Amino acid sequence: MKDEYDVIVIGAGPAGSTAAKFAAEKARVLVVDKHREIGSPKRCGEGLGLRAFEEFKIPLDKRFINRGIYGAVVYTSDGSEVEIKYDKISGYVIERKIFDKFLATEASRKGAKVLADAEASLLKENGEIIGVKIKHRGEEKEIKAKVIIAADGVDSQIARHAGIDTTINPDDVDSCFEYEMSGIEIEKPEMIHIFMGNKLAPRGYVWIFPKDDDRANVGVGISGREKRTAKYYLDRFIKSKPELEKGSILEVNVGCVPVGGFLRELVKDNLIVVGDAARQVNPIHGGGINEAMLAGKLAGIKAGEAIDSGNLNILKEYETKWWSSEGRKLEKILRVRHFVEKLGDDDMNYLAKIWDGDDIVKICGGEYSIAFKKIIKHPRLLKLLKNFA
Amino acid sequence: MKIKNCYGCGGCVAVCPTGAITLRDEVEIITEKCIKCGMCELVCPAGLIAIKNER
Repeated sequence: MKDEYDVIVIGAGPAGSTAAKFAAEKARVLVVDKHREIGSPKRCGEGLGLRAFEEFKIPLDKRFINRGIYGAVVYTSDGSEVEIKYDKISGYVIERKIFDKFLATEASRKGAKVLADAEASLLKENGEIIGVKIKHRGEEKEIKAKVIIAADGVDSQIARHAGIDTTINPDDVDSCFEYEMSGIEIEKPEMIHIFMGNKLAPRGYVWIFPKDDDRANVGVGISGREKRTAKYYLDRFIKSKPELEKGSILEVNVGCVPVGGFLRELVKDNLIVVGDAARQVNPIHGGGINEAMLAGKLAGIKAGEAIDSGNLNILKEYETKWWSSEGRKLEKILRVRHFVEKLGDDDMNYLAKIWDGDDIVKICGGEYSIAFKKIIKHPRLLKLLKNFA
Repeated sequence: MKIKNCYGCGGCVAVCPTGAITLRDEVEIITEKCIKCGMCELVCPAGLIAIKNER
């Protein structure tokens, strides 16, 4: 490891490794991750849509693909189901630990240097960020860099130390608890299963993402404001389902997902923020791998260009580009989330009858006009739209 | 103060308005910067933080 790089990326999740991969095309890049093993512990439901595989040319490698998924079944509290099914595979349930290592490997293949078990803090001189201090296996080392990319997750401290307020309101956090379970019965293992209801999972949902015919990532996400814990809701759900309760628990994972509270300021001087650290997550379903990779790509390209041209002002283009593309879409989706979270169980049951799978897919992507037009035809639901301001 | 049996998800760190919580080796540590607002207690998925009672 050298004493100086052009770009240092802090955090080797999907955002960080993707940023490193693209920055490495034009710059000398170091990626550090505080965990002893990249990708572990995972904090994720492990579903990833086809779009990311296409956009980033991710190979369908058996080492991190558990199984192909043809769609989703959404259940509401009265047992209503909406099925979203495609003829072709529309996404995959992945093995995050191996997937994250794959992305880090890709970055290293492009020339980035990756170092696990390295905790980073900012190195400043006269108020300016000049690099990072890393602690690796008990030894401290100062490494200089021109650009720092903070990809250090929901609990990002790097952006905070750079003077960006990253505090998030508990209302904009989904508190999650999950088990990897085996020996369970899954009626349609080629589909992901989403259970909604205010008693079941307040402001969130229970998920079953099959990894095999009899093995799945089973979890819950609830509002961070909720008094009872995510673990309470998950355990209660499993207890109510004999086909799950008889199973084994192979893994216990806990996570908090930022579902809103987007960071406006993504670039401050020579520091840029990506991924969960920037709250770049779909606020409706809480998925963030694709968003993180899109942000990482944009940030990595701009960091590379800034180094190549010697003009750090280019970094700011990452922020403007994000807010005119994916960021804008996420803002629309956040408005939908604010609509959905006000729904009572009766409303949800009713909507499950008037919306089809296509409507739900569009809503999750922030395109709500058609689905909302269907509401207008039902006087009973019209009042709901008043909440959509 | 260290959080016992912590899974290290970082949710409490994200919601802490004063930056009083740090995450090291998958354990959250609450320092003297804590103002006992209880946000971390709300967000913890496993219910491991009982800050108002303990401090």
